[in-house]
Order: sequence, then C-alpha cells, then structure tokens
Amino acid sequence: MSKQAKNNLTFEQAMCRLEAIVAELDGGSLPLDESLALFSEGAELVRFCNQSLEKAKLKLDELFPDTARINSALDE
Amino acid sequence: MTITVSQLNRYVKAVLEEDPRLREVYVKGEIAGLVRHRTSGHYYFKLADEGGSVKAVMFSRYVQALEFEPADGMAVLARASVGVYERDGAYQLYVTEMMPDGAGALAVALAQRKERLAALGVFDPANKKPLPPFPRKIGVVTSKSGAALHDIRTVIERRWPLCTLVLCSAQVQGKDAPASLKKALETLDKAGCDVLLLARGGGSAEELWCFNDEELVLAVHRCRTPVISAVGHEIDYTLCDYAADARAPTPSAAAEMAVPDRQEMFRRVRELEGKLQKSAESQIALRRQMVARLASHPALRSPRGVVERYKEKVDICYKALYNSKRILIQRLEHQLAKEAGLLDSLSPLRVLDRGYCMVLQKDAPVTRAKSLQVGDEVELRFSDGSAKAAVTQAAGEVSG
Repeated sequence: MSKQAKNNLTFEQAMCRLEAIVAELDGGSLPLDESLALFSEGAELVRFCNQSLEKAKLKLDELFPDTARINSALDE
Repeated sequence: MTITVSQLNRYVKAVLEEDPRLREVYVKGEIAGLVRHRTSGHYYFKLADEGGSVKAVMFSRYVQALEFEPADGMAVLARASVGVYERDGAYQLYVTEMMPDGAGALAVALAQRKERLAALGVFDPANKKPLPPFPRKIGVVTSKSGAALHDIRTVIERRWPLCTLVLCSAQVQGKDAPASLKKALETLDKAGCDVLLLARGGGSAEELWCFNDEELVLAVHRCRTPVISAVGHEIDYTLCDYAADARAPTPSAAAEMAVPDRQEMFRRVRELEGKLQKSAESQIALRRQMVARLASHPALRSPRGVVERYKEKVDICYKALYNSKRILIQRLEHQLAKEAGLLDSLSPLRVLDRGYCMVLQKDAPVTRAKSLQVGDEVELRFSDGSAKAAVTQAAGEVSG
C-alpha cells in the first residue's frame, strides 16, 4: 500500500479491505507468498484503523442557509 | 325615498364593507351544509352555533391552503371578512383561513394530513433510505441554542469522532419554524452530508407542532440524504418522524443511531487482527504439515529402500530365469537318458555280457585272425574287465 493510497483511505474502506483480506486468507487456497503479502497488507490496515480510531477528533462546521458559507468558529 | 332592490343591496354592502371591524373577523362555529363546487373548487357552507347561522364562502385559492378536510359538524375557527351577496341580498362571510377548533379537532386535522401524505407515498417503508454505516459528514438541523445540539455533539464526540458535524441552525418552534427548518434541511441536503439529523428537544404538543407542517414533511421526504428525525421525547411523534428514514426517540438517541461505536469498532479491528494472525499461522502450519508429510514419504526417508525393492524385483526375475533353465536342462537330460537307453540296448558291450569276448590289439579291435601272429600281445575285453593274452598259434594252424 503506497503512502498516497493510505492517506486517501477512509476508515470504512480500510475496514472493508481488511474484512475481505481475512475472508480471502480464511479460504486458504492462495499460494504462500500471496498469503503473506495479504497478511502484511492486513497488518498495515489494522494499524491504520487503530490509529484512525485513536487519533480522531470531532470537527465542527456551521452552514448558513442564506449564504451557505462555512464557518469553523464553532470549533473551540 | 324609493330605491330599487339592487340599489338597496349595493348600499348595505357598501355600509358593511366600510366598517373596519368587519374586514377581519374570527368566527367560531360548526360547519353545516358544506358543498364543494365541482368545477371552481369553492366551498359553500354555513357556520352555526346554538343560536343561529351565517352563510360562508371560501374560494378555492384559500381552500388549497387548508390543512384539514372540513366536514359538516366540525367545530372551526374561521378568519373572514363580512360582505353582501347582492343577488340574494344576503350577507355572508368570505373565509380566507380556517382551522379546526379545539384539541380533538386538531387531532382530526393531523390524522387527515397524515392520510393525505401517506397517499403520496411520503411514509412508504419502501422509500426509506438505509443509514450509512460510517458517516463522515453529519448534518444537524436544530436550534443553535438548544439542548439537542449539545446532546448530539456529546454523543458523537464520545462514540465516533471520525467525522465532521455540520450545523445548520433553524427556529424549532413558532410560526416561522417550518420554513426555517425546511430551508436548513435543504441547505444541508446539498452540502454532501452522509446523514442528516432533524432534532429538537422536548416541548409541548404546540411547540412541536411545526414538525407536522406539510411542506416540512415533504421536504424531509424529498431529501436525497438519509434523515433521522428526533423531535421531543420518546412519546412524541410528529409527521416528520414518519417521513424520515429513521426515527429516534431523542436527539441523543438519533446521534447514537447515526454513528458506529468507537469501542465496538476497536473490538472489531482486534477481532479481525486475531483472525488475520490465526489464518497466517494456520497457512504456515498447513505448509509445514505438507512438508512433513512429503518428508516422511518412504522414497525420501530411505532411498536405499527403493534400491532394495528394485533388487528384489531383479532377484525374482533371476530366479524365474534360473528355474526355466533348470527345467529345460531336466527335459534335455530326460530325453538323453531315453536315447542312451536305446543306444545301450544296441551296444556291443551288452554282447560281452552274454559270454563273448572282444580282442583288442593296441586298443583296436582285432577282427581277422590273420592279423595276429604268434607272440602278439592282445587284450581280451570282457564285460567286467580285461585280461592280457599272448598269441601262441597263428591263423591257419588251426585244423579246421
């Protein structure tokens, strides 16, 4: 997984991919080197998901119907 | 003074219309003799109480704005001006607005509106959109100063801080609330949110009434973004609740419904990590077993064994070959013995057995007496051996 791809990854995508990897590995029909590649990708995703969950901070915005401008001042 | 009927009617009409107190009156009464004109859509009816009645008309442009279906016997409050219908010389009410009078009537009006909206498919379960499992942008329509916003924020901060909360504040009670709520909802619907919360804390039925507004309910229905409605407390239901894709009993509950739980997600990630680890281990264990199985194969465990087996095969072949050779020899020997027996019966040596004797000189048989001379040594061969003899008389000397 490239750094670029990782930066753009959402938590949902990471979880989806992780579930898919686990399911594929569970199938057990892959060559060993592919299994190991998937395993290391999965371990990377686990790290990413845990970090996302740990470091997340709620962002607050406000929209106004008239002007539809965004104001982040609400975020103290 | 003599005047015509028409002049009289016109005059009375003018007098009534001049009175500012009659330009806008609120009249309470029961509807009676209601008729809806088939083509124009105007309503003609009477408002009555125990003491009397008055004719009333409501033109179709006002009828359209009615929030309930009027019927005979219904107690209403009508906003009207007073005028005269010149042709009949009758004064009547020109009704511009009408609302059910009293709580029971309000409930009737609400039930009717609900039925009407239901017929449009506004509450159809088939039209309900699923809530996103991991929303990243959550729009909130509520009062900026209300407890609802605080509650929602607190819950989402605790459960799922992996998102952005976008507030679009609106008035949540009063006459302007429906339009304000609708505008905020529409603004957020266009802002790329994953889910919208339409929320308001608890209040009286009157305070929550704006969430029954037909235009607002339709706006909720039209939202492309899934909407969770959370108005008032557990027991309060508004039409917005029915039109939304999901209904939560309180704003806090709506927030819980909108986002996954971080702790649960931690557990899920851990669980997946465990599975990942386990399947990687089992993959390796599986391969190890395969290697072990192959390694324990006789061919690999003792290559000599293979040689031995081939050697056995060679032995078997050798024995088979040897046996067939022996059988062949036996057969030949047997044949030879048979031939020899035959030969034996013809042998001259057998003649010796019968008392004959063979004379040999220098190992050659003597067949003529004349070939012997006196003094020659000869060998006499019998069947059981030989003896030496000397010729004492030559041939011809024997008197025959």
